[in-house]
Amino acid sequence: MKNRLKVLRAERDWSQADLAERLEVSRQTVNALETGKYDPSLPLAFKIARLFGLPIETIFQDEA
Amino acid sequence: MSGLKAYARTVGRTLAAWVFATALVMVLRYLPEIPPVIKLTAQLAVAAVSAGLLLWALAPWWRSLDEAVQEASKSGFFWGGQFGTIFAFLLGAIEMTSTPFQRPRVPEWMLGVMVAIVCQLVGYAIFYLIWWLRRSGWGPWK
Repeated sequence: MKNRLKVLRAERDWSQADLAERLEVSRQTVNALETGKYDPSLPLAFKIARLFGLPIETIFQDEA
Repeated sequence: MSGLKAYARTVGRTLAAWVFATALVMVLRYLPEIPPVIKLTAQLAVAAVSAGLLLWALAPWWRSLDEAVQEASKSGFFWGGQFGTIFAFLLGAIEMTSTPFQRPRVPEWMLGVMVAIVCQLVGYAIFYLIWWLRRSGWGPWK
């Protein structure tokens, strides 16, 4: 699954650690999310969407 | 829950669980002469209660881990645990059958492996069942 996390984070000038703290996950998790190596659970996806104030589908795109 | 708070709670619960488990073992040790069947049943019960207490002690730590770390652990337990179990089983099977002109014997450590496998399978079955029951709206999980 592709996502725009890295772009959204950069727009806010946040580091991976900043984003991790806001999401209450580890920095490794943020890195895995950004590189598309790990797809978040629905609760975490909603949390990310709320944090950026965007609908989930504008952050995550299904590659199928 | 913060990592430090979860750690503190886990350590506290673990100590409490150890104290309780030790007390159970002491009671069992100084029980008067009782039939072997009852003693074995009591030993199994003490082991089961102690294992349950230690899982309860570890719960705050597990819940404090973020979801990717939990997923990594599940993957490690599932694939790594199965690989290790199969490897140990095959190692024992190879040793048992590698001397063709002798009567096959079961090495003691192989018996240990078998006991561990049976215990793991029982634990796996119980928690697999609980997982589905909690999602079926049955009984206390309605």
